[in-house]
Amino acid sequence: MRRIPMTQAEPGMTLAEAVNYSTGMILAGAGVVLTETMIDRMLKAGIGSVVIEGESGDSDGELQAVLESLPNLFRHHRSNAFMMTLHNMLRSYFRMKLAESAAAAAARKAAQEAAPDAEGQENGTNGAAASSPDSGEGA
Amino acid sequence: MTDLSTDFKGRILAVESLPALPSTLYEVTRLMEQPDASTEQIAKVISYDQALTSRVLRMVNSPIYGFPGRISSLQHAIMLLGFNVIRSLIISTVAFDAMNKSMRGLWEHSMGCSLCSAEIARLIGKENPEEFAVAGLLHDLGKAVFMLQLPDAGREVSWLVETKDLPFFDAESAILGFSHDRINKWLGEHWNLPLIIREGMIYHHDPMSAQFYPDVAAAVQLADFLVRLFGCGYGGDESVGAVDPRSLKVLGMNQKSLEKLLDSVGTQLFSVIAQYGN
Repeated sequence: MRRIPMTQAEPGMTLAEAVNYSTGMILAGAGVVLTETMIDRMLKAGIGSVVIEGESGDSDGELQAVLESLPNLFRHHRSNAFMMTLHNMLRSYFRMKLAESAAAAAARKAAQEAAPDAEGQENGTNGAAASSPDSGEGA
Repeated sequence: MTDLSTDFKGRILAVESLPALPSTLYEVTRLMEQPDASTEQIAKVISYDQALTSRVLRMVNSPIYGFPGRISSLQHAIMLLGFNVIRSLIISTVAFDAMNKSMRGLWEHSMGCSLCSAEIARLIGKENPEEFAVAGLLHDLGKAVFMLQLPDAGREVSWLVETKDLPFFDAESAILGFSHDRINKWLGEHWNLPLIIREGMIYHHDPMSAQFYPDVAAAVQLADFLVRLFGCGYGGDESVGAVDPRSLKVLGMNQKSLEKLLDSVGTQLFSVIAQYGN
């Protein structure tokens, strides 16, 4: 899922999270497919952004494909020094983007692995806090 | 060869079979030429044609123009984009049909090119990214019209592209004696498009020959390159065209700004690909 500005919302997109009026009343629930009328209503209600289904950060495959297609795309320009410079610059650019993306993914994974522990600890604390009066009562 | 070229030119421009412009366009053009015509009057004339209205509003609301907030009225659209751009957008609705009928992927290629042209204009601080966008949208109109008007020659060109691995532009020259840039010139004059848009369309393969707007032509050349790089749509062959180093100079761009441009257009082009398929 990803959050997009309301101006980029298109009919046919699926909401991943419910959209609420400022009063808290639900305008559209999660799983609802957006229509033109719904988008107009949301804009009129002053809703700035929505969370929709689908990945946006998942463009690694596409970047990899562009990187791999470079030699073929530039095949007519092998004797053009400027175009070869451009080719090499682009190769470095896409390699760097993929490396950045891999690093970010690794960081996310590490955070996720750490997260259940944190949650567990939090639950544990809550559990302890909730159970102590019980144990107090029992004592 | 010259005779053959003249014959091809005549057949491409055979007015009776050229894609017909919506009749609304003539009325809009007539009104625009009157100094006292109001935005309201022009909006009213366009609104009589519902299909046209919805197409124009769809284009205006596409990410290409990047306006914050949804534009739901024609009058608002005209105020934001100006008469010339609205007029060109009406013409581009014809381009949409012509491109869809002539070459699979050409419309997506053109949409992507429009998006990148506007993004380049914004990046270098131009005040009229909408005009860059329209020039980018129409840069390959000549290809579409040629393929529609001369389907046999069109097949020969495609055959040359596939068997001899020629760029589409060179294959056109080999078969016709001229390329779509020349056809763009005739169409631009025939439809009386604004000079800034015409120069972008005509000189995107040779920006330094543009007399008045080499910046627009250079932006379209770079945009065409980027769309092909990211594999958005199909422009007639699978390769990138040469970018003239002077194009970057005209646009005042260096490696750093080029990387910034790649950052901003990359995801947008992928979303065009995702939206329209490939």
